Amino acid sequence: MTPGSATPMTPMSAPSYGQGSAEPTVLAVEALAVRYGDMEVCSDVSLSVRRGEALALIGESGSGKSVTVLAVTGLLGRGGAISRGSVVLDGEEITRLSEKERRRRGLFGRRIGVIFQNPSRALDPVFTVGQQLNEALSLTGLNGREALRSKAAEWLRHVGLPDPEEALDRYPHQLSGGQRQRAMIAIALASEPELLIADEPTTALDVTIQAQVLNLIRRLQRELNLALIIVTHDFGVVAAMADRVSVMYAGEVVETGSVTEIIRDPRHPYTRALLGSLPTGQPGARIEALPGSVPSAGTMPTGCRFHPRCPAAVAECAGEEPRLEPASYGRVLRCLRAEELAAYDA
Amino acid sequence: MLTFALRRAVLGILVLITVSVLVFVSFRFVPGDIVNQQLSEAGAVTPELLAQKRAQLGLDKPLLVQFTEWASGVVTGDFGKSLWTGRPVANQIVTALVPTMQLSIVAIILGAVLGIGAGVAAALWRGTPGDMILRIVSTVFLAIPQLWLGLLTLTGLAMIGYYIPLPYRSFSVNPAINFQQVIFPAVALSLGVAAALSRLTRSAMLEVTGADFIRAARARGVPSSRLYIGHGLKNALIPVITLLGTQFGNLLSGTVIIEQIFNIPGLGNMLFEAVANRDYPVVQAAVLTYGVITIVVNLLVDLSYGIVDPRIREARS
Ligand SMILES: Nc1ncnc2c1ncn2[C@@H]1O[C@H](COP(=O)(O)OP(=O)(O)OP(=O)(O)O)[C@@H](O)[C@H]1O
Ligand code: SF4
Ligand SMILES: [Mg+2]
Repeated sequence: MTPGSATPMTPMSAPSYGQGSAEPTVLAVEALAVRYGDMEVCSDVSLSVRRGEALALIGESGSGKSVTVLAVTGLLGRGGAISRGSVVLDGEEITRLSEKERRRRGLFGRRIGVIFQNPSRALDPVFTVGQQLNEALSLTGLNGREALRSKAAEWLRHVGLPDPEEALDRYPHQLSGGQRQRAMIAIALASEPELLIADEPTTALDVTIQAQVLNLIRRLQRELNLALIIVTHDFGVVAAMADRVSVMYAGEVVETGSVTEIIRDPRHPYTRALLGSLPTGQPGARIEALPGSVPSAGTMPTGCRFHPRCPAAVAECAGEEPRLEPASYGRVLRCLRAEELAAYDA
Repeated sequence: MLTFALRRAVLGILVLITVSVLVFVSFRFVPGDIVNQQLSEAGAVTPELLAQKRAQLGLDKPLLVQFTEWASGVVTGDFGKSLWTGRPVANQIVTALVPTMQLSIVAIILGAVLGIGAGVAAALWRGTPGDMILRIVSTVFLAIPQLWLGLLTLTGLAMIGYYIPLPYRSFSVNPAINFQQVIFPAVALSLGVAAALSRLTRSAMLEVTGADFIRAARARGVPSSRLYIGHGLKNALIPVITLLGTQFGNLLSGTVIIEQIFNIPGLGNMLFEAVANRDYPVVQAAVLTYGVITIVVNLLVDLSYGIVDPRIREARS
């Protein structure tokens, strides 16, 4: 498997490496950098997702997954701002819009729906589920008490809440964690967005219901032909939920490719580490654990950000910053030794 | 809910009994004797006359007997008669209660609207000059006593050549005059309340607007007004309501002096005179009335927690 041997390569400016899908690209993030004050918490994130496609964003804690999706949704909050790069939704540049402008263009809810990690904290405790669902529904132009109510109940039924009529008048604390997340999913979808973003939608839930909620999201994503970005740090979730995956490390995307390809044949040393098959740079030798932790904004290593932890690192890795570059089978990689390592494995 | 109400009622009655006993006993030990006052006004003071007068007013009986007589009267709605005018105290209280309640309610509403409004604005403008100005202004008003504010208001009005019309007219008799008579003392009373409320509202709002559910509400396209007033303020309201309750107590005690300054024939004015005249039944009834108002306000505060927060409502039912 040599670089550039198969599928036609898309230029770096439009990193839509799918499986040759004809669906239009919904979201394209290009060389995105995000700062909070003078801390750069995301440095070089490029990813894209097409209609009907599920993209997983995976990486250790602190790698900048949440910051990336918050930048896309315009929810970075106080002190946070996009400092470089671009975010394009449906061909429309939305990188640096004011909150007002985002609202005007329907970016909140109407075009992008968000499911948050912790449904207990993401639902307003003093408003009923129905009231919060109505806020999303009213964006579709639907109004009138009866119409809203029946549509809202329909959504709750759709996400599998028992007794949807009654659930409308319930407050979040009166639902179980799983039911709350189902309600959250209904709220995110009720405004009929084309892009759904789920940031670790099940980490706050009971293990026994995590699979149910993930299945629900995947089912609805397929039914509604949505573009989905699902953030996780679990390759099991990636395998079950996504068509493609972008791996993040220390504020950068280090590898992107189709899920089957990447699980079968991870290329980047970090991806391999996550998958538990770590190349040492010596033919045949592998180690299991990945020592150390993700560096933070203040203490970013020079050269390849992964080099202090990379078992395949060479002297060059500390000096030169690898760029995200196309490899075979629609893969993109950020590693100076990508070709060499591929050759070892072959 | 029922046990909650019952518990509150029992507690309220206990508070009223305690307050009554304290006032009854302590006030009798305040120097200055009503019998002496009344007689010296008439001219001659002899020990015989003193004793006679004392017996006539029922003040010669043991304190405990006097208290039980008074208390059993109160239970049946009889608050006794004024030691000076001989008129039923209950009537006087009811007449004086109207201006006081009007003044306090106007003042607390003004204070709440100003204070919460300024607090929300300061939170939204956080870090801007507007926020700074609001914080400085609120610190200033927090430091000025109500008495000063009242006098300052009067002086200020006089300086621009405006004099509040006199004598006092109730709202039903002459709303236009009544408005002028109430609005200025109400403003003087409300500014301290507004200052305290705005500071608390600001910090409560800042805490709430950083919460996940505000971010989530913004993500689902909730318009700014509903985001901050609906979701933000409603969640920040519990501590604000609590402070509003204690501020009402402050405000009520402020009416005593403000009614004096602005010539409002309210409960405060009545209490002020009754204390000076050692008119025991009037003092006791007035204090009891203040006690009842305070208890009712606290009850309203507690009930409103349940209206704002379904979790509290549920815990009580
Ligand atoms: N509001 C903020 N202000 C300052 N720094 C922030 C803020 N939010 C996130 N960061 C920093 O940005 C970096 C990336 O955080 P992020 O939350 O995106 O990580 P993550 O990949 O989502 O991790 P996790 O798996 O724990 O959710 C972290 O170092 C974090 O401290
Ligand atoms: S560039 Fe070097 S340090 Fe970085 S991942 Fe590749 S081999 Fe490891
Ligand atoms: Mg995260």
